[in-house]
Amino acid sequence: MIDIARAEFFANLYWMKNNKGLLVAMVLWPYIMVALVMGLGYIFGSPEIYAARMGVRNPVLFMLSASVVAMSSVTIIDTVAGYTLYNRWLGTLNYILLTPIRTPRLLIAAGLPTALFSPAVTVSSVMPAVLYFEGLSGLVNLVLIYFIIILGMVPLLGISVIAASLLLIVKEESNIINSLVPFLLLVSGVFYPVGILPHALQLVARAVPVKYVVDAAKLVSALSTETGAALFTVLYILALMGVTYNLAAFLFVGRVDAKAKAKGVD
Amino acid sequence: MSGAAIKAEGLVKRYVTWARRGFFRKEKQIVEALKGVSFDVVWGEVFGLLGPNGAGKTTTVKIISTLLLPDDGNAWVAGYSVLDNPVEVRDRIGVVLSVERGFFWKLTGRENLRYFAMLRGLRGPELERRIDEVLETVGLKQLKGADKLYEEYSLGMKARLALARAMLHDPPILILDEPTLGLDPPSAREMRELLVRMARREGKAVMVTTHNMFEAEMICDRVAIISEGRIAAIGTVLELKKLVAGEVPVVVKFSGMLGDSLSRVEERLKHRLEISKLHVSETDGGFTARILVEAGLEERVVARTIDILTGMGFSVLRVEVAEPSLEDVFIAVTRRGGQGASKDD
Amino acid sequence: MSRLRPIVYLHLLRTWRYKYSFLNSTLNITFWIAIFILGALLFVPKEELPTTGPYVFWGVTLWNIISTSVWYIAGWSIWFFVSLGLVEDHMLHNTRTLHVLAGRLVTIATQIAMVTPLMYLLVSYATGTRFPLATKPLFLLYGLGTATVMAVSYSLILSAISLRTGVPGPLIDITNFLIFIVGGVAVPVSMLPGPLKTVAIAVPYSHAAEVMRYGAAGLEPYLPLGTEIILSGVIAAAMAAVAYVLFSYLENKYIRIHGVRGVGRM
Repeated sequence: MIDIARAEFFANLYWMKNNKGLLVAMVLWPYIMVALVMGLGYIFGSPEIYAARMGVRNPVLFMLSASVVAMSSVTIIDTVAGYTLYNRWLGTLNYILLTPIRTPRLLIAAGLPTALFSPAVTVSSVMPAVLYFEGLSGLVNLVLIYFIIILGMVPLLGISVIAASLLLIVKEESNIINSLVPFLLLVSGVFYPVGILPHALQLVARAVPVKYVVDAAKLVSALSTETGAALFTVLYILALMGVTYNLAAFLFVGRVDAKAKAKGVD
Repeated sequence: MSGAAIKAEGLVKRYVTWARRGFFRKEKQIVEALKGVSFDVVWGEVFGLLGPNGAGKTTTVKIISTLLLPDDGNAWVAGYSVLDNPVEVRDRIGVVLSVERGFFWKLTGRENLRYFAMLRGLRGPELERRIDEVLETVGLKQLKGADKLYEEYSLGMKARLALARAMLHDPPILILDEPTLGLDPPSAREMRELLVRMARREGKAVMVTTHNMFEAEMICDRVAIISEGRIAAIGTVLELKKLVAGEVPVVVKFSGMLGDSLSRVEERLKHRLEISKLHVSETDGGFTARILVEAGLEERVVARTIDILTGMGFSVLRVEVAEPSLEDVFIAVTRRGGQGASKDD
Repeated sequence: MSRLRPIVYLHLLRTWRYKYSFLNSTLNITFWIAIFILGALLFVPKEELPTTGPYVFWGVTLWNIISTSVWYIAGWSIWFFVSLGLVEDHMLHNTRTLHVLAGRLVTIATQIAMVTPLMYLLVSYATGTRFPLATKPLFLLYGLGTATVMAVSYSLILSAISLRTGVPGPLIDITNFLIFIVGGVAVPVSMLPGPLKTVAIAVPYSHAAEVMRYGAAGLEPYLPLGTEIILSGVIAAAMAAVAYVLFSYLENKYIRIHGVRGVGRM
């Protein structure tokens, strides 16, 4: 498993080295997302109203952090779920499934480097803006947010593995579950409080790890007195989710894997 | 129909490519793919264009099919110039460029054919009748493959569908680029039989490119060997074999660990035997060296070859003095770099 | 015209065969737009939400037309049509790639028809009002029509370029977002800050968008209405002409001299 993670790590590294255009796009994305929401917001309204409704001191800083959370979530799900698709396109999927390593382990190992890499790249990309607005203390908070994101990526990895396994049995050449990513972000209230969503979606949000990462990012950005205790609650929930979702992934993928092999994988 | 079905005259084609030199610098390179290719294909014959990879076969096919313009020269298909009358040419040819590309994955074979037949102007009952006909001719109906999605096709079925599409509008000329590439032996045999049948029974002109010598010898009435953008030799198989009269092919089968690349082994053999007409290939369970030797010298060459190969750590399994084949002609004319062997060049 | 029937047959059939991908795309687009819109509307004072609704809805609809056209025409030709060797096979059938790609309007229209009602529900929910769709329907249709012609023409131009050189996907995405923010698509030109007004006027879509907003909510365009109508018509016609001429040159001359990108040459 460590060998697979190491191989994926180097694959990630070389991919970034050889796809500079895409790396630039990755760096630009958080800014584009923020520019889009804030651009519209500034023109139609004012940032003070937003700050008051969200309970954050600096909307720009919060939005950049939220974008980092969003982009990291997108990448982890795309990478892990895309792993099945990518290998199907290459014609290597059946060989991979025939290796002695169990499929859930394989998928988790394949996603681990991305879970570390992607937040690192996006966090680095927003560093100049954070330094400009908040100075060194902002940077410290950003590092804190980075570790919270990493923690949040663990349960998300479990969800991604379940999604990836579904693609083993649903044979479409495009990623038919890629709407899962924006759905998770939508219910997590990346740029808005979950309270504005319909009640049913608010209930769903409670089971989505991204919501707690966003909550944590919000707490760090707000820097209020209750931050410490609330933050620990959020981290505790994330850790619990990490165990639950990955365990579920192991159980679920084992079954799907057997079903896929029985049907024939191509 | 009178005149040649296809007539190519002095076809020249150059490509511009860019070679990377360092991080930013690129260097312009001109690749001359065709250097004056001329040949005729007559009605009712299967004509083979034989050559190694990169010899210019596909470029020739694309020019004749109106997909590429030559830098010099011209070609006429059913009397129409590929330069001046591309639309008329396309109406008279059926082309297979690749046996596994050029179809829509989520459409069945029949639906793909229906779409392309409609583009050819076929409509109504005539369209469905024609689709049924070609599906039966290529054997897809018998394989119950007509109503399967293209993405579920085997390579053999894809090749059959590609041929079916080329035949949809019943063109008098068929042009096929490596039609049996990657097919299993029974499918390849069926494909060959079909092409011969269409030429002999229906009087169509069939032009195929291949690097399969055995195939060319089996089905082609005439063959042109193309090498490095030139026609190195052209004629019937018998005529071509006369080009190696006075020479005897010696076939040496050997096995062992290949410490070096196959081409390096070939080079060393050439160098030490001082024979240029020699080709080494990988065959079942080992390697085969085919050496064209001047008649009378075969015993000496055999002994020397065994010495050299054993010296290189190989075990010689079998030695045979064979009848000249198209492969020997191919080795002879391509090793001379197209100089002097050509009858028409 | 004899090619119209097979091309429509092809695209209708493919649209049906890719129904799960379509459903997924519909949800994907809706969720992403929801994430941004819900965030942006938090900047707007409550009392101004009803008047903002129509601008946001039509801005998003127009952007959806633009981005769907780009992905379904340019994206499809770059990653599917060209790489599968279909350009050459259509040439052999005396059929222009331009016509096959323009036929993707069938697919685009289906996708937009699926997303637009969801967008209306979303914006209505977010603004808390059921706003009327149009006050002057003819102007609205004219704006939408000219914008569609522009979007399809722009996509065809990108496709034409892709026949010879690679067009990076992230660049297309980023351009789409920039057009949305500063191109006068999402926001009326009159509401943009000073220098951005000039940028928006230079973006072809802004003129169609201004006519569309006039038809939808009666908002006076930044330039006189007559000027905007003429400009959007002339620009749409000019872009269509450029796409046609460029494609004709590429198909009749350039491709036949140099070959199609990514398709074996030897």
